[in-house]
Amino acid sequence: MRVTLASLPWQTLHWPSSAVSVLDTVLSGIGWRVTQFYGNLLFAEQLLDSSAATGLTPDDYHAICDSGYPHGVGEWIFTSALYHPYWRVDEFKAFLADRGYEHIDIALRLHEQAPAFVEECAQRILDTQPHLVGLTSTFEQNVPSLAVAAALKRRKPDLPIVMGGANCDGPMGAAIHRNFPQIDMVVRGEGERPVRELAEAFSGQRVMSDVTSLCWRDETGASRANPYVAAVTPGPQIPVATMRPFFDAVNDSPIRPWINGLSLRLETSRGCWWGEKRHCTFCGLNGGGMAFRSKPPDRAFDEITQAVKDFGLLDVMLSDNILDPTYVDTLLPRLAALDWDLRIFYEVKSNLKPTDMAALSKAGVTMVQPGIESLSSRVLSLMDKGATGPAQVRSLRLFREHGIEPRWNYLYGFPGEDWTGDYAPIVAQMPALVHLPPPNGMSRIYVDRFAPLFDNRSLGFDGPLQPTRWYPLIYDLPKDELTEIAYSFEHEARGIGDDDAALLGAAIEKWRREHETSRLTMTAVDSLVVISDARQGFAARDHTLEGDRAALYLALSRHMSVPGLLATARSAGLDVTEADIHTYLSEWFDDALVFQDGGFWVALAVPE
Amino acid sequence: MSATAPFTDTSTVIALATEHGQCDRPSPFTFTVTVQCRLVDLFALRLSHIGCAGLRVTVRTPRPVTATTVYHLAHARVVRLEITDPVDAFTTVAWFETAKAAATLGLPLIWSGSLPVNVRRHARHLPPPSDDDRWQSGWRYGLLGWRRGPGFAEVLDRRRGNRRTVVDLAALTGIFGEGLDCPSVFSGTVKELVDAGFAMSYQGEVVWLPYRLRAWPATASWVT
Repeated sequence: MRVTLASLPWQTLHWPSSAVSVLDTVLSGIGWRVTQFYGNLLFAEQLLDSSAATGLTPDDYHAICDSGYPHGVGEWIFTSALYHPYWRVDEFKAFLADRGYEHIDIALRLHEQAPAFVEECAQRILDTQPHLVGLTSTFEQNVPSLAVAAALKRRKPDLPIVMGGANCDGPMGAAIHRNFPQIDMVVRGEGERPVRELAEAFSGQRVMSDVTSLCWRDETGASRANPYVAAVTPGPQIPVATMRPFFDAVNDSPIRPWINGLSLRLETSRGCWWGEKRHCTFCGLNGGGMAFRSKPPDRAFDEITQAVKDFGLLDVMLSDNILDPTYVDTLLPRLAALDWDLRIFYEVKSNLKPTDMAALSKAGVTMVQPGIESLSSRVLSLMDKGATGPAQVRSLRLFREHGIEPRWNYLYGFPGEDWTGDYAPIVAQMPALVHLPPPNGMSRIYVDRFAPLFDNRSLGFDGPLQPTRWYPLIYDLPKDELTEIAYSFEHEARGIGDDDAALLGAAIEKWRREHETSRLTMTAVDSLVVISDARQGFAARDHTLEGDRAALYLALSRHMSVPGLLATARSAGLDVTEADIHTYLSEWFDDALVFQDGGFWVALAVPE
Repeated sequence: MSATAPFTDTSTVIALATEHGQCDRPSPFTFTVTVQCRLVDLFALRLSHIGCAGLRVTVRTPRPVTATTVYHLAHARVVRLEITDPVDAFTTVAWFETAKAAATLGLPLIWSGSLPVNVRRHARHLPPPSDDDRWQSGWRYGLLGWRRGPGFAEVLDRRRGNRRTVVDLAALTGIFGEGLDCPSVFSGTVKELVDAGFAMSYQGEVVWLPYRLRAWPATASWVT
């Protein structure tokens, strides 16, 4: 059997598709001949080819990739191919203008290019002479995939087409299958098991109704959905990604000069160990695959190092939702010992110890997504984050100390939050945090499918939930089907209002502007602590702490309550009273040397 | 928590500094110390074993130092290295070694002087002199660097545009030494590197220009 696995726009140009490269391994392992097809590269190449006439370049592809998802821009661009050119164009332009979207003109011009690309793409896929085509859809790949599938069916109606990916998980996949007859089958959930079973069905060893979680069509063409089962792949059995076809394609492509930061894309685990214990209320990742599973450290090491050798790339983007904590003592030291100048991205839990941070830094993990989300203890509690505001500030300080760049967004709009108690005190302290890594931005939360806020209406989103505003502008579907196909939903705003959110936004923008030139460092010397303040907005000066003050400030490198700090001081033999501690904290708060929230305090100065 | 554990004794550092040069500490209550070194290599080695004990130590030396010495100073957490004599034609090649190592390790380098005209254009990616506003304003971390991989060196050249080149590491270390910080002599392979803008020939010696990008500064200005 020949199968062509395709990843279409708006898959990033910077790394291979995880789904395509992993399922290549699965299918090749059972003897199928697999072709990986990167439609995203083809689209960017076509933009380059027609650049003289259209003014579009691969940079415009990057622009939509980087900015389009929250507004459905990439999906709308391909409605010209799925439905017809200028599909609901006035309404969509008005929507984007209302959102303040900056690339409306680019989106319109790409919309005009999409139909010709889709036809070319379908022909190129047919040129691979497949017996079966698989399309993977995550984020904004639904409409491009559906459009290419329709074009394939127009050319070759009997060619079976399978769709899968995160956009097809649970009821979303069933809705795609019901509403788009160009899709013959939909694989829901993690692909390894159902894809193997589907291969068996194609060879007559199994019936379609016996393929895990599959949506398929009976002899009348009616949509059938097998019972949904979360068929998670155990960690040791997660396949090695076959990345060679992507890198061969991209290295031969004329758009290669437009791709800076080409990276390896690997996974060392799936699921979320934190989510198994306490599911962050806004998080819809993982769908039915929350159970945490990781590859044995030796295998993770071998896969990373082999890929670096094979492709001559030192940038490694790991798709894990959360770092396996056992890797701190296993995988990371082995990577550090290589003396390669790796640059690794991992998602991590924010409550890392200083030794964990050091291990990450030495191994080359220089970018992380730590899930900071908020600096308010109460809001963090509302989202069941399992962290306090001072604990998050401590993490930011440790990231700064260890040269690790955390990427984070300030989230707001949680039911039960309020400006006066949860935001005003934090915003008032933001000038003191200016030397710490700022948020990349801020966002009112959406209600994502599979998130507790979606599943449990008692958490506060108890009114009508509507698919995010762009869904009805893109899909020509009735409301109930839109609700099934959507991942992201809107609800009447909860939490702080837009005026208050603007104040938060202004404080974050100021933080971002002033961060690069701000420093607040600390050194312990002789019996003193010397804190050098060179933050924007503060008079440059040294603060010298001695005696009990010096010892207590060092103790506050961990976030502590006043009783906790008192107990710690007394166990260290310091003769201080609770009143003394209040006095010191008050002094430091006035000098913006500490952050406090929810009864906990933490030192802000970064050790030199 | 211990009330004393984090603190270290500065007297050992002061004694070492005094032994190796002129140690200027304005008063016992200031923590900024300047050490004018006579034998900076030995001082750096010994200081790397004990650290700076929380003192903010600036090391001043009349001439450029080796990459190894820069490594020792950075390891000791010295806050600044200052070359006191103007860099000139005679110290240019040595200065490249110092400047590249300082950039790699994030050790601020203070220097002044005048590089030969035909050299200056090859040095714009390195820490600028204190008396050149134009160089300072155009400088960013990461303009020309290399990263060590298994058997290859990835050269990232962002001086004009954004260029990534992979070079055989064994070939480079055979020319410029393990750390790519030793001057070499002209050869056929070197000519290719010079033509690519990755090496510079000066007075019969050839210098590998990129500095090693070992870390990625979280906040310092650098080019992405």
